[in-house]
Amino acid sequence: MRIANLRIENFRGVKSGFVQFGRHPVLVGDNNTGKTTLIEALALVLGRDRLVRELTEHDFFGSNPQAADRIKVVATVTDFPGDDPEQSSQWFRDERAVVKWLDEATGHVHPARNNPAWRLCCQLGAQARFDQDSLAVETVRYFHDHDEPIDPFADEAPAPVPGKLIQELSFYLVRASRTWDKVFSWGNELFKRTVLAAAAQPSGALLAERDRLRAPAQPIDADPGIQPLIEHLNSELAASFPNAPKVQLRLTSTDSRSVMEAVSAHFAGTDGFSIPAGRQGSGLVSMQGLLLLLELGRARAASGGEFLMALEEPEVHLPPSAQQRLVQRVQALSTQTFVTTHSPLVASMADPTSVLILKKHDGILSAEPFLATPLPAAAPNWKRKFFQHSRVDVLSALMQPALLVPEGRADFQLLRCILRPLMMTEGWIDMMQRPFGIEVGVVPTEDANVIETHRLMQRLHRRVCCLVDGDAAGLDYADQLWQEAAPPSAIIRWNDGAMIEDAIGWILNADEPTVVGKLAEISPQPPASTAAVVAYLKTKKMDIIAYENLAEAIATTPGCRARAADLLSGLACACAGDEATQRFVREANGVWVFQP
Amino acid sequence: MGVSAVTVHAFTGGAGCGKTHMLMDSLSAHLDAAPLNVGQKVLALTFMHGSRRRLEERLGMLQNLKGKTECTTIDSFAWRLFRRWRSLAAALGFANIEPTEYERVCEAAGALAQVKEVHNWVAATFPILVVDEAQDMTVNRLGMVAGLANRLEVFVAADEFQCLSEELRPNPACAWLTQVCAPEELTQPRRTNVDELLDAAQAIRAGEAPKSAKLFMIAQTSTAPLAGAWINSNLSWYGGGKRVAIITPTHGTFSRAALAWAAANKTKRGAGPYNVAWEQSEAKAATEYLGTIQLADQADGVSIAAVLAAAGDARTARDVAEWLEIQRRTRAKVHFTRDEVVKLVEQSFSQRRQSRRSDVRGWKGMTVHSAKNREFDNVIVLWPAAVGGSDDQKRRLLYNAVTRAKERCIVLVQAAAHMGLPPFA
Repeated sequence: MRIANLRIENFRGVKSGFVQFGRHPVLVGDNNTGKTTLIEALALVLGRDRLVRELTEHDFFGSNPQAADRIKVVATVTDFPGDDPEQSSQWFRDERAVVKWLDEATGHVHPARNNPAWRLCCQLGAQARFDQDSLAVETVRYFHDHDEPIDPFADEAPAPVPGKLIQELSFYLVRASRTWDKVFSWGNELFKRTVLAAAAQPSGALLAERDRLRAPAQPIDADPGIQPLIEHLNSELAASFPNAPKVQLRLTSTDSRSVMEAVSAHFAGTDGFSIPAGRQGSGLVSMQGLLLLLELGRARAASGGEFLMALEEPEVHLPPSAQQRLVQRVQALSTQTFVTTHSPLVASMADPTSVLILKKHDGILSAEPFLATPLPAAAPNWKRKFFQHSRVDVLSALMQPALLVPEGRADFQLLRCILRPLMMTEGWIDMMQRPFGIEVGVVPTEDANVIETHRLMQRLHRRVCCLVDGDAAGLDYADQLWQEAAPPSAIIRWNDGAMIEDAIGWILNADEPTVVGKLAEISPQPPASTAAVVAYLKTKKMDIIAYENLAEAIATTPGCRARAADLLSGLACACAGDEATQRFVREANGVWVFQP
Repeated sequence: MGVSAVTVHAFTGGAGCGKTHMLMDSLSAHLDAAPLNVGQKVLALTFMHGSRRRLEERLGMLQNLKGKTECTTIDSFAWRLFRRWRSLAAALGFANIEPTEYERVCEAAGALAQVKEVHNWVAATFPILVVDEAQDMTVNRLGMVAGLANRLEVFVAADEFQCLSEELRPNPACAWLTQVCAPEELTQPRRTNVDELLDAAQAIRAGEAPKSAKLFMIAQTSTAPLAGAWINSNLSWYGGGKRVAIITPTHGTFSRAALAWAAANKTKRGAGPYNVAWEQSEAKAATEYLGTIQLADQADGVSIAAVLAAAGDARTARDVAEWLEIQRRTRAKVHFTRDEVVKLVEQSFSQRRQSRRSDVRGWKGMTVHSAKNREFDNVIVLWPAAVGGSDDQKRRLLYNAVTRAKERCIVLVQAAAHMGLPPFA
């Protein structure tokens, strides 16, 4: 089975939202775009009771729930064997779900199968309300029969979802905040469950340990150090009670339960030292729980059962190589996974069609696949490069508040190279009205496909801006972009006849003698002037070594550094539509033009 | 409807011939051959709540069922289908139906039950359907049962002659049964072995004159005091420790006056006075209750609760107060119209009917309709001059009243002229 989509109303920061899922979606998005809300919403409707966090007022959109306000989450479950309700009669029968049909293309659910492509599905709902009298949140989980408004708290109670079915779905959630200290221990619910599902209780060893603790070879109470005290206690006892029992000191309560709870995992290093889990680094600590989940998944898969797993931020505490392996293992063992991440690296491991870019505007949550459909064999080379080779860069740009599509790859590289050393300079952020590196993500446009790239990004990001040259071709691009059905949020261009290398020249001109002196190695012949540097950059595009030299020279020359900051912050202002900059001015036709 | 796939086991026959007994026997035999799976239950549908409870008791006695039954009325099961499959019903053209629009609900449920996914869905939980008193089903109610019969194994009991609704002639359910199966006709009476009662019932059913004798007697009582005196002597002689029902086709002036006399007077021989409580319909009880309380057109929950608390009916007061509280807590609604409260009071009364115990001890008065499918040791029939309907209808009414008796039955006829007319001649 698989969760095909999820509808959320009034939950945390999401006023309303609708997201469709494939088999192994990877959810990316900036902070506060609703990744965690989405995962918690899944847990609310699919999770076993233990998994669901106790809700408070803050879980309601706006944090001030009134009597009639409801959190509402509806999940559509599909992928039932043969799309035949009779084969899944534990799901489809009286007091369970009614039969419905899902159109995966639209996410719409229909009461009758008017199209053979529609899939059998059932819908589960969860609602919560805050009770002003008891100051507690009441939650119900039910079969969502139809979209007509019902209030499960005031109207006729809907059919509840039995715990058995929830267990069958077997939804697990690994939260980003992993507080897993004693994981490999019977005090841990997950461990107990995994032992029973994937192995068997080691009862022989546990009973032997219990018996050993009951009759220790070297009893603590018999130790010469403590013995005088014990003897005094025994004689006092004997004077107080007839047939008084004798004091013995034992480890644990010497029953099997306390033996099990006292078990604590140790990790033996190659050096032979065995160290308890609690003393290990956080990477190993969080790895423990994931390992258990993998085992549980393996056991579920072996028995043909379902295993749905949500994994928040696998990048936390884990080295990149482990992240990749882990995500792939989890996906291989689960019926469906939901991975959330901040890391473009983790996102780039997944197939681009299963990466979902989350967006949230004014409380409305939505998600778009990074690539809507797999690239056909005939897809142009630049597109392939953009979605495959460059996808870490594209994904990381998508997580910024504004996204800038420059005319060419050189713009991308130069902006990035200059920004990097600048960001490492003390106080750089105070030099900018708007911090470019935090507010603007730049994508590596291939082959000057600024128009097509803008179109591709428009679907994924609300604020897409374009940066073109000041030459005839650039002006033409600007015109075409204005003609688009959905034109960019901002069109920015370099001054007349100029391109980014000319803007670099303007930065260098702030302190020409000093900075040119630092650029002796940029070209085979040391340049004599900024004009020579600019000319070299124009003839030798994408010389990354030269770009890095240049960035270093600018970052270490105060006058140039100030101009670079001025230019980048001006660019950030233009992207945000903010007129606070003098470096870029919006002309009558709406295009922001660089003012050197 | 795929008639060929339908498996229906039907039992027909007169009152007290053991239709329900045979229903249980054949169900039990079927369960022995094909036991229920885990989570499966037998669905038992009846027309009224009284028969629902009796059927529940009977099914509860089946050893191989171990209580895995769900007994409900046809109407509430229809609502359940409609409520769950509301979006499919809307696609089939049934929308905006209120739970109290029973016929429309059943019509929608009938259309739904014809859909493969729906009857399979019911069958996954309820592979077996039992329907008692099937003759009382309207076309719409029958539609739902017939739809379910496409997939469920159906066990039905029916007696066309016990149908009291003149609109159901010819009887749709009985016609359907003969179409889908060969109903087994039961002729051996089991409720009583009193020959006089059996003969009288047979005569009435056959359109002949029932013979007045000792244990079945017809007496002409022109006035209410006369009828009241008969009632008191009968109760005095034969009422002690017995379940007695005073049954009338229409509870009007004659029956009221007769009962009033009986409650206030002694006979010359000293029998009485006896006060026999009249079983009131819940709708009527609700109306009477509402007549005793003063409700403002618009009022707040607290004062409504206070009015009802003062009115004395603790159960209704509690039901309404609970609902008001839920509205306040879940919707912040604190003002209610008179209509809202009236609807709630009516609901509260009608729910009582659903939970009331079926076995009646002692003496009770009731209409023929509410006596349906029940049995008593001793039955006193009050036959007022005002009984309407065709001769056939009158025979059915008398038949239904007389066949409630296990030991004895007396019919008190108000109009002397009626003695020579059907159903008495």
